[in-house]
Amino acid sequence: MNNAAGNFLPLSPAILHILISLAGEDRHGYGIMQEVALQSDGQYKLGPGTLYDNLQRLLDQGLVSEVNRKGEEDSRRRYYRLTSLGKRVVNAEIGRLEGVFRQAKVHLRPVKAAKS
Amino acid sequence: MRIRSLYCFLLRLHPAQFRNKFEDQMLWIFDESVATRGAASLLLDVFISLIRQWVLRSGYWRNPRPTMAFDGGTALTEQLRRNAETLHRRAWRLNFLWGACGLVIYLMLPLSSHWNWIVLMMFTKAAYSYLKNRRGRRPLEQGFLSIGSSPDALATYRNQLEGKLDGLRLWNGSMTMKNINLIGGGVLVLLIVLNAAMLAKLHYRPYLEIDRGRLWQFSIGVVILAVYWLFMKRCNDRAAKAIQQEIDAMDELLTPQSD
Repeated sequence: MNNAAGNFLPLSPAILHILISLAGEDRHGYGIMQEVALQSDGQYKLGPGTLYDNLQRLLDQGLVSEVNRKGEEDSRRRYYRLTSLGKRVVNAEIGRLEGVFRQAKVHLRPVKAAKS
Repeated sequence: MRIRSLYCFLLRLHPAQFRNKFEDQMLWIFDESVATRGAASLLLDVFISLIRQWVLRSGYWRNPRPTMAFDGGTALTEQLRRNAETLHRRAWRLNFLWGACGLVIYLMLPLSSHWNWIVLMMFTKAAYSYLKNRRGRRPLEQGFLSIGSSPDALATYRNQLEGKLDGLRLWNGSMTMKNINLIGGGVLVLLIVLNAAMLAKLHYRPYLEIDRGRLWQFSIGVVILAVYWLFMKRCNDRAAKAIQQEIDAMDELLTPQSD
């Protein structure tokens, strides 16, 4: 299972942000864009073209699925949901990034000490 | 308003499958975010997307992979539904063009009189056939491919799909009932034009004012029409096949598993 998730790594920043934005709840495209901007304090802004290009790939890979919401007033809003495979991939990517972060701290410490 | 039109125009230049899937959503996001993000960044984004889809993803849109069937297999059916819809729409656009071209070529033929009650009746029948078959609806009692009049919404939808399938086959002239070929609008247009062209070629005097100089042009027109007919027939067959795949997928989903 973990190996299957590992096949998708490393994730591009856009895909990582999209998957994290969907981790909490189902969102429509505009909701994803707003959540990504919020996560990055406005530093990373996804455009609709980039968003839907990545969403198409995620749908194909089965990391995200489309959800039909009954009673939705605007038919142009389509909601997306993180699949169980998608959740495993996000967790695997976060684990990988934690490893990178640990390594970075180890390697950067001597530089910091030398400077002080 | 002009900026929105430009955005729509750039969206329309995207590959058809991408457009069918995301056009509405992207336009909705444009409407929601143009005030906060600014039109320039959205236009730049859609322009980059246009290049990306044609340059980097063109192979993908030509041979789209079916979506993996997660969450109860509905995603796969959804993908097939969209594919079938796209091909169906494209096929009927070509069919409309076929009828229009047939009419124009017929009017250009050097006939002394273009309109008589047989031709009028055939063109009327072709136009009626176009309107009826395009929608894919038909009376249930006709039902040669129908599954019957179930009150269930899914069965109604399936019935409509079968109607669309019948419509495409009828238009193509590839549908038979009790070993009799059913003639659809597409075949009628072909018959009218070929018949008139043949008369023109044979210099059928009571019917024609012969203009030899232009006859070869009409012959080329008829050849082009024949090639177009083959192309249109192929597109109709592809759309019919996609609809059949959707019906099969639906049946597979709805059939209770024995083990």
